Amino acid sequence: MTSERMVFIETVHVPGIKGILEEWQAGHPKMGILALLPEAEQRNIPALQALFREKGIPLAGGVFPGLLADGRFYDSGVALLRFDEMPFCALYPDLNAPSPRNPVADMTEAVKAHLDEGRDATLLMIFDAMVPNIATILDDLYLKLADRVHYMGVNAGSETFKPMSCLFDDNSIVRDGVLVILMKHHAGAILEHGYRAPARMITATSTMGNRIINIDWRPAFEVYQELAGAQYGVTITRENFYRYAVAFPFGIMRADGELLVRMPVTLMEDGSLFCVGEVPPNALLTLLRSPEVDSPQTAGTLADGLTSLNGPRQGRELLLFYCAGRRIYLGLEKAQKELLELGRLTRASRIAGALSLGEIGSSRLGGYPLFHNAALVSCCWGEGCEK
Amino acid sequence: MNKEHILAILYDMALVIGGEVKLQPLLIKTLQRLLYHTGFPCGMIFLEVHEKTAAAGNVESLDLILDQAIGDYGLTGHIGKIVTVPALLLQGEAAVIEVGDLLKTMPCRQAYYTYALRLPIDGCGVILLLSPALPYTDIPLTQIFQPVMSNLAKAILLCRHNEAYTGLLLSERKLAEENLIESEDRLHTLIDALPDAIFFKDGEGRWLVTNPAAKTLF
Repeated sequence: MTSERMVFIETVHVPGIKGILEEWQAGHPKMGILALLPEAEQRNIPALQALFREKGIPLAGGVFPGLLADGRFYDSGVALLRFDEMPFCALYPDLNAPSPRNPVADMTEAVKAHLDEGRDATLLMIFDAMVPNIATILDDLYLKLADRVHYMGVNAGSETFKPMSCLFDDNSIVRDGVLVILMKHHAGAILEHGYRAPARMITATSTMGNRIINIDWRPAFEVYQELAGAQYGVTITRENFYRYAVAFPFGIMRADGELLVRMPVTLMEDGSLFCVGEVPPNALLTLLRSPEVDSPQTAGTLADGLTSLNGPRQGRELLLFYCAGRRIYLGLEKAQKELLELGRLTRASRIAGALSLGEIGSSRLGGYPLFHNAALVSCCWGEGCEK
Repeated sequence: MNKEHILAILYDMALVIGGEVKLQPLLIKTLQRLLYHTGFPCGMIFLEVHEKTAAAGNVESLDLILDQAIGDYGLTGHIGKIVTVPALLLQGEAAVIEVGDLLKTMPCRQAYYTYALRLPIDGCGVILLLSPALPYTDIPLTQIFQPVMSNLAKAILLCRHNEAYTGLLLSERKLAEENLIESEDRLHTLIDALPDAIFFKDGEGRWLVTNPAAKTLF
């Protein structure tokens, strides 16, 4: 029986997965699985669900633009992450459908009921990237749960930003929702992006929901066309927008010196720019032209943070989410170097995870959960992730 | 950190404060944005500091109603209740204070917080933010929020006036409705007691009101 709690399989082969599950289940009869799939494998979810139902193993999972394992990115396969005992886990679909019940109130009541007094716990949230009010939901969660949990999360979905059912358990596949998992006896996660704000900026002056309408009092698309033309000599279109827009993300400045990055990902019909992650109403944003990304600092901060949370343990397994837009901006080679550097600094026995479309972590001082783009978020995986 | 950054933060805070007309949502939103911007994990608001200080004089601690708190589950359970707060945390200008054992009388996490950021609300109360460490920033946190706090003081007064005015309108409306019901009851009692037949019909001949004497005719 393997002592590993995470495996990455390059091909979704149900009989092979069945063998792994049976081996794990023999030693951990109360186990459950968090499964991460790339969007190219979404069609295999029903077969996986049937297998998990057959074996009586709880399943939770998400579909992402891609996967990562041990220093490489993959667009096929599956990552299986084992809980020795399945923790509280729930799917909340259709967060934006009109409902007399507040889903956040339901979520917080359920989480509170499963908390152990005096022990650390981490609330892992996997949102559908198309949910437009994630920052508001985080505000509401912090209002109700405060410091009872550490906060960690990511956005799942397609890198084309077309709506898709991307969250699942052993019975259903949903969209526009959130999957929450309460990881008990867990000291939390570390998030870092390493983006530096340039000295000179221009400002976005009109926003609505997830959309940036004006930059410097001019239609946002006009400004983007000029920037892409001047910097890359290309004409920006709906098709190539995401590829070039990752070089001109927006930044939200905060008084503690940290910068929140917002990557516009889609050009809308009316010329406004759609961002993953909420933009404060009428926000005054900054536009970061080809921002400098400090890769060594990013990996170093993550490694130091994980050591401060969990102690200097060699050989631990790490769950890592890496922003899909960051990979495009840095390029595959630099992005893979970041993965390898993180592996080297943390001396982890295994790192597995996914490409994400938005990342959630606490502020550097702990506590307040913030929604980011362009970041890496990582935590120790499995039981015994307290200091 | 340049001036543009600071202006963007102040602009955001001003929008939040200007967008609320009720007191509790105003306090919650303001605290949320202060925690968001400063990265401090915990914040609380005491509004009656100045009245209590004036009444109590020079004392070591004050018993105050905790008007709002976010980020510390122990504290949030005491919102609306009386909490004993050291005067050193409350009195004086905006400042960063090393808390030491100052928090021992308060129902918050113990031996966790190291610093408090005190932000007086221009004669309307005090905001305290707590953190285990200080943020790495060159922004003078004790100074940049001063204009925001002045606006917050005015917004608190406006919200209180608005709530008092709305409350007055609602109570006047309720009183008027009660008077109307009482008046209608009196009229119906009188009509029912009269020996003469009284009835009302609408324009299409449908009966609206008949008194007992009228019913005996049909």
